[in-house]
Amino acid sequence: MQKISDELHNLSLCEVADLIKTKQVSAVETLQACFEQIDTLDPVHHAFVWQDRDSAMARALWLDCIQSAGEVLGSLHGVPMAHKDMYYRTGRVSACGSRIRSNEPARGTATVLRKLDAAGGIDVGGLAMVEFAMGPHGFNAHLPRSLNPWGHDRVPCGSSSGSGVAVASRMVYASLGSDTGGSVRCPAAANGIVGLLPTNELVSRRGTMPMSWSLDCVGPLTRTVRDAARILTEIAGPNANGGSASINYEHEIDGPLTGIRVGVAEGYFDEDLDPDVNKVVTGSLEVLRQSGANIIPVKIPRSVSIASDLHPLVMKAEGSANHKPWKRERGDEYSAEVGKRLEAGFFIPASDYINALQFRVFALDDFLETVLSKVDVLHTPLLPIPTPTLEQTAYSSGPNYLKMVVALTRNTKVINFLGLPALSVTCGFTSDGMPTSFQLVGRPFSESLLLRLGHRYQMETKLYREIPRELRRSSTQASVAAE
Amino acid sequence: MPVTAELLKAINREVQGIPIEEERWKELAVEVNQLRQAAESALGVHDFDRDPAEFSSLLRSRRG
Repeated sequence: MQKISDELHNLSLCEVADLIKTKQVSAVETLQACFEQIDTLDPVHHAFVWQDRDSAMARALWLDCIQSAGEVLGSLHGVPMAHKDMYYRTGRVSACGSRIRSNEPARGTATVLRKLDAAGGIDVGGLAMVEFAMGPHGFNAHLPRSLNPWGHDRVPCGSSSGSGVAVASRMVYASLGSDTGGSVRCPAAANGIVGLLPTNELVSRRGTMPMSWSLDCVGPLTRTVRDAARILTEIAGPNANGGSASINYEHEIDGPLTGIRVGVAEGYFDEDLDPDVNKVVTGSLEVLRQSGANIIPVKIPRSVSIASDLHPLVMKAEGSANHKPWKRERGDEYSAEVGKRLEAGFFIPASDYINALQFRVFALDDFLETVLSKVDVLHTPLLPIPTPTLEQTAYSSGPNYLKMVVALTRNTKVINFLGLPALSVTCGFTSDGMPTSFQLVGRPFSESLLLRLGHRYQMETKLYREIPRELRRSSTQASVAAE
Repeated sequence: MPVTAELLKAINREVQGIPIEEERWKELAVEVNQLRQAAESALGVHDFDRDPAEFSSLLRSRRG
């Protein structure tokens, strides 16, 4: 007979939350199922950097207790989650993947954590990330390597590497990551799950580690689009004390797609695109078309290419300003890769930085006029290449390495520069068996529309039910051992 | 005009004070020149009257 935990950890966040709400399963049982999955997989996958099981279990017991008395905190009541280790909670150390912050307890609690607490979520622990969120392929020299559950020889991408691995490995039901150039969407794509980049400023960053103030966004990684909608409903808006969001994104998810104009990029996003990825991503358009959407080619303006080149200028200028005291006094505590990544920012003239920010206004205006006035959303590949191997990303300064690093964030960083919302949804597998995703980009604050399209795609294809290859292997090995 | 490793070293010595390995300077000059080139290409569409703070208001005013 199958154990309840075997069934529980494969459910989506919304499914398990609804079971808890209707008392078909308790918060304690759900948390125990997560602990079992973490015990089985994390010694190999290395998604967690720390866990606080005692506090998580105490909270689960309390949540079950108040539910027995008739009180349900919110839409995440009893749901175990874990977040990138850069969300501060008073008195707790969030090292941000670094040595430098490894002994510094936080002086406050992140607004988004307060909101998830108010909605009834359970915080299980901190997840692996690239040092100070500076790097796209997921490697952190200070931590054990997080492994992709679809292939242990492949990178999980980053910088929210642990978030992607933990959610895809069914260790927790959702996770918050942060996205400055693709750090939510890339690990979501590499690990075969959903990643949402909200509109710049929609979700509070108070109490989270800053990397680049202009570009940083907080976003969820989940297994389904509906799960992402539920999380966004809880975390959107500036209110630090929880409560209802002004929009219930989940309630708007089932609307029709009839007449929605989905743009297919001509220029920039279709350049340097791997043919295998192109085939899978192009195939996903047919599903949207059959669901009622109109597929329309749209030309991408030259300003997007300039934005792509200016993104690292803004990111490095802001990042180096923030890290200057530590780079001067504690430079040897940075890993070689991240330490070097910061250095160019110290030599960017202020006038260049300000011109880049001025250009950002033009680029957004231009994109809205030339692209998002002709279509309602833009559909692009997320990663333009198949998920790289660990070997391909072993740190080097050679041209192939730099080309690969640039390719990883090519289609994502420009969206951060434009401040627009984007949703990453798995749409199939490249010939090596690795998942790949499309990205939907919309007008400012059009998350409801992106979620509606992504949800319909998932309902039509059911790809979100696919179990990662390494989990299937692990499960088979466990069954053989049990027999 | 491209910046040189020597210029970056001088700026660092006089202004920034960041410990940077000797063999890194040449590579760093290439990187800084790439970033400066990006800034130069944006000047082609530079608008004197554009305030960077307009970005937030533009986002809010063009809700989807």
